[in-house]
Amino acid sequence: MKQITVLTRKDPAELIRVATLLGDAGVNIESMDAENIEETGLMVLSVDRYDEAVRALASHGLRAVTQDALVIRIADKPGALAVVSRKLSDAGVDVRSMHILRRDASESLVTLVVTDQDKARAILADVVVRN
Amino acid sequence: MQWKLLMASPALTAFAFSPRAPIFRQPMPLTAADHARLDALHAQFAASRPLSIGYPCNQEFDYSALFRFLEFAANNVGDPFSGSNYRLNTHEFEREVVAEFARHARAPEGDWWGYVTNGGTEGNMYGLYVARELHPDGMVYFSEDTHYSVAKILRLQHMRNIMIKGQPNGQLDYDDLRETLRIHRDVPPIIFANIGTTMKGSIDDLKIIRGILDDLAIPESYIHADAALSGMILPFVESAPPWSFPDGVDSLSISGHKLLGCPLPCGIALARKRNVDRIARSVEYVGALDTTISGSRNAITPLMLWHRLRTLGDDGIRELVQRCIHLAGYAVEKLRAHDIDAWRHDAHSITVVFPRPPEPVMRKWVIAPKKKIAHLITLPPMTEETIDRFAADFAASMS
Repeated sequence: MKQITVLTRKDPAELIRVATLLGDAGVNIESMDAENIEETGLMVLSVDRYDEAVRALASHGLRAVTQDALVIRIADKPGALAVVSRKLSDAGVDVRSMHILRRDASESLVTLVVTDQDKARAILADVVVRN
Repeated sequence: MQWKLLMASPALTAFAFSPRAPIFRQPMPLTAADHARLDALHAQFAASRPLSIGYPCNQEFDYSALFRFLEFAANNVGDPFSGSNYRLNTHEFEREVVAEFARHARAPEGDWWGYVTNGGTEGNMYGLYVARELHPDGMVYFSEDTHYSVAKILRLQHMRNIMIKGQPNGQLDYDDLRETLRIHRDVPPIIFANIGTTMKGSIDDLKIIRGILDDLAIPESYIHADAALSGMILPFVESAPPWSFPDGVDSLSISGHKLLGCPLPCGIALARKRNVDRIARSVEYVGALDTTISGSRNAITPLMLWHRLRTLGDDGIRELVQRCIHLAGYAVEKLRAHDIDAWRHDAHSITVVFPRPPEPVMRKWVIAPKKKIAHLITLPPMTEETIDRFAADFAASMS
């Protein structure tokens, strides 16, 4: 079972929209966690047909992050990403990329691709928004 | 035995003994339906051209003098400065074109190298390739307003990267860059600077970036500049912001088809020669001194760029740039007169940014929106009348 993180607007209707479009694509949602971070809706889905789900979400203009990347939430302040990156590299985890997904008033959602995801998840447990 | 078997085949026997046996079949004529499809496509192109205001493509050009070269399988394989065994090439013209762009970019005398690319993305890929070869452990920094193709390049070239926040005006957030570099000062920074972002036309301030690198006493760094559209505007305006080699840039990518206009996408990659030479030495082991990205390369686009540069001349390009800048100012005024919050990065920008128009406008006009904003780019064949019609449509859709 694989997980996908989906970014939407902060709107309860988006939950129904995602469920409907995945259902139309023949994808079963095994589990879904949803939360709002400022103006952004965040859903973590477990699905049975992973590739189909990613394609369906992307074709409807939704930002879907596959489990190849960690999603973290950090304060929107200068150098915040570098602090995370340094913490990881000091622990021997190589950061391949850090991309800002969305910035709201005081927080940013960021994707992180690293060489050792399990280790990174443990180090960043307080800011990782995915299980 | 095999020969006898082959000759026993009636078709092969006929082929072998026919005095005029064609080696290949003659091409079939297109059917009426095929012609109709092409006619329909042509009509669609012609109808879309004046409405395509959101994309940076000058669509006013005449390359008919070069059509005769389309009968040849020309190919610019290899380094344009090293020659090629394949004689149907336009390397000589390519060298002249690259030299012209190098002059406009004020590349250091005797210390530049470049070639004609398939477009801005290849130029960016080339610059980042040079950077990676020079600094294998480097970290690439780029703003969140950077074109999405850069993220693809970074992944393709397996380069470590950190996205830097963007300011509302589209420039890099220099505080974020400074703090990020401070924490990673032991890693050579590779700065990907936007000299005109895709959506807002914003220009990262190279003077500030250089200042940050100096303040932090970072000994080794590399700056690549993506000057896709602005690279042919800024050489022709007064008081241009820092954007090129004298301002500390190590490599540049400029599009050929954007401001100058060309039916085939193309661009220019320029880099400091001493850096390219270091790469050339490092790739000797693969048995090729050619450091261009592609193998076979387009031989027609260098010819077209050469033709365009020859027929426009510096004065012609300057006039074209002034016309575009004037139209951009006109567009901002016109849209604001309709209470539409339009703006542009600075007085040199031909990218006019405004709130994302309602759907009816988006359906009629060819515009690329991003989230809550959209833009128009004042390149030919746009006129004041085009802007008037767009502004009127936009205003009507809001009311």
